Amino acid sequence: MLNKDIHEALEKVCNEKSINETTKKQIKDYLDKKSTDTMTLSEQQTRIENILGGITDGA
Amino acid sequence: MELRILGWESKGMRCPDASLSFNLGDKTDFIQMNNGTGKTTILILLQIALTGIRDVEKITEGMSSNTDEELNRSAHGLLEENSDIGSFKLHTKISGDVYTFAIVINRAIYGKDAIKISSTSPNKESGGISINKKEGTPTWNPPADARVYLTLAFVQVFIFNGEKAEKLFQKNDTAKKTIDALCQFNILDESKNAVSGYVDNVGETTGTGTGNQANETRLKTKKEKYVVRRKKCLDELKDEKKGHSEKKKRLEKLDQLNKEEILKNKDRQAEQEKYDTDTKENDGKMLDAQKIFYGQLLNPMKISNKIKKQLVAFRESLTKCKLPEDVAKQWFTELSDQPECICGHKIGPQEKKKIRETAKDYLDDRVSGILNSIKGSIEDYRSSSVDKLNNSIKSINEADNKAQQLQTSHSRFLTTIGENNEEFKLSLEEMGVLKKEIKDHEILIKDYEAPGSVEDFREMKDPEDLQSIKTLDNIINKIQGDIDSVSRTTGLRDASKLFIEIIEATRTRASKVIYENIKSAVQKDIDKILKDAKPPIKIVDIESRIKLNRDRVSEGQQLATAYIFILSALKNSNIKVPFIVDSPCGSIDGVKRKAIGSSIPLATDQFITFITDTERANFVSSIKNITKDKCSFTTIFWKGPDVDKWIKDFNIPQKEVEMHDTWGMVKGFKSFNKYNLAGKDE
Repeated sequence: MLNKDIHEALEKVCNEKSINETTKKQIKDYLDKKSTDTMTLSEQQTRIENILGGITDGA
Repeated sequence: MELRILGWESKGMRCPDASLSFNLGDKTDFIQMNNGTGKTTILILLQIALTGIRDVEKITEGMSSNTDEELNRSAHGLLEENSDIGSFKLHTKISGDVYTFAIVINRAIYGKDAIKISSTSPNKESGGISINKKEGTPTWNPPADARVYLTLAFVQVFIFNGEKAEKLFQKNDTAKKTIDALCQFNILDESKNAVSGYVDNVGETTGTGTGNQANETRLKTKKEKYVVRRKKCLDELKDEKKGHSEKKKRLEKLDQLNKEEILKNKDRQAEQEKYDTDTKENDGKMLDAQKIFYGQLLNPMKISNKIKKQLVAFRESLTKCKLPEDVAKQWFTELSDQPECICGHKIGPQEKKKIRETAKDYLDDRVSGILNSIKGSIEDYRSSSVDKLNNSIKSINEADNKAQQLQTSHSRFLTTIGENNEEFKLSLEEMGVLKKEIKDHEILIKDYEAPGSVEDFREMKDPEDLQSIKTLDNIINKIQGDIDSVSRTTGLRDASKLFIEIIEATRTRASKVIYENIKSAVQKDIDKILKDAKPPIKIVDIESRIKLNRDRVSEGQQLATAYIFILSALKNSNIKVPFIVDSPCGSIDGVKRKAIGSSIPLATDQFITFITDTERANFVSSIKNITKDKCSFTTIFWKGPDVDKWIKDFNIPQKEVEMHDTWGMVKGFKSFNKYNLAGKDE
């Protein structure tokens, strides 16, 4: 789990960039999971694919 | 993540062969060791164990060793002079599980392999042991949630060398790196790299490169050329069909008029009827012969004796080539188990896996079934005669010849009529031209409506060289697919840019908050602990280094500020780690020692400190006080006459003293507090 200040900053930045709630949560979950170093390469790719897809659709 | 040091055991290292264990309930563990008794060695071994780094120079100097000789020298430098092998075991508790990190240093081994590190955890599957696949030996493998923190940068935050506190005040980003490590800003950097890498990989895999706008535009321009050509071909096809239809109608009309002219004369009428009847009959014969011919062609054995002979030979060869799956599978399995392939190459685990997987593709029941079916068919037709096909061909040829004869005879008949009828003659000539033009139209229509050419599609022929609308459609679809891929990559690239912007903005914003929080917490503690400083010490900023309002501060003030900074930073992170400090007081004066001693246990659940007897005053009492005596005390010393005298003079009970050949250890506060041999060990 990342530092709460990072989470709060991410929340604000995502809101400013009009990132939808689902994608915002996907980014948070991805960073949290990354901070525990328990992600396989394929899981990481799937998460990134979903995040970028969410950003594209929401943009 | 929560890390606690439970103790360690050392043997054959450049420090006493001591075994220490710390109680879970204690908040501070004092280890009294004077200079020269191996504190530095223990601190290095702790860092090796926790980081898995085997390059001692990297730990002590921050620079990697360049050669095996350097690696070797620094590793062997941790061994006791007369020892060939040394071991160090660090017992820890990480997020509730016991983990032991074991270091072995072997003087007989050179280079980085001189140090071997492994980790075990009795509660974990297989004892938490991870095996180095190359060497087949246990390797360093802490739990994943701790691994991200067990970097050298992070470990050197909580294993703090008071003598190096000044680094935090120098222009070398040490303060920044400390906060970055504690707040895991590295995760944000890594996420940016992972996303960029993902998009690069998509571009590479799909052959769409960077997927930029220029690529997309280039493909769209290319597609447009084929679209324009397709439209032109469609228009031309429409014109051809129109011309074909009009000319056919005209031909039919002329034909009708001619027939009417012919019917005006009974003899001509009879001849025309005979021609029509003969033609109809011959067409029927031709159709029948063709039906029989194509029917017989279904049996390839009837095409010719040569083909029949070859097919029979093929059938024979199939009998010889057949490899039943059950037998072949076993053969591949046995081959994969061999250390070496029949071609002489070594078979490792990867090759073994590949052989077993690929074997399935070469032989299975379905393939055998198809082959058997082909074999059966060949066998069934083996006795067929090729004569029947030859007869069919003969019949077709006869019907064709007859058709030509009839056509010639009819042309002569029509010419004869035209000799005395100019209008009829002109009509015949026009019909001849029309027939040729209709044929030309049909050829062109056939070209436009031709099925897609695989070759033209593959070569992506120039649009102007293409006439098949289907081929043009296929190429247009292919280019559109490429455009979609590039467009997707371009979209991914744009999305990744936005993701990176988000992460960078997050970092900037979070840094500001975190740095401000730490700065304000540090200032608050400075105001309390260094309240006597004149002029008062104020933090200007901590973004790259701890920058104070004063150029000159005393060594004690600097060390106190460094503690305050690290403890504040630790409080701001969401992990719990021990705070391990060598020479905690240095030249800090009594009042500040008290203040610092009272602060440290509030910021960490485990404070382990290597202390000398000259540092005890005020510091130890304040910690004892704030922790309500939840402390352990260990004194380690080299043996000598002074020690014997100390034990005797201060009446240290023999049962509390653990004496070895060259060193001794005594536990408890009383003996700890009475130890007064500072400098004697040096």
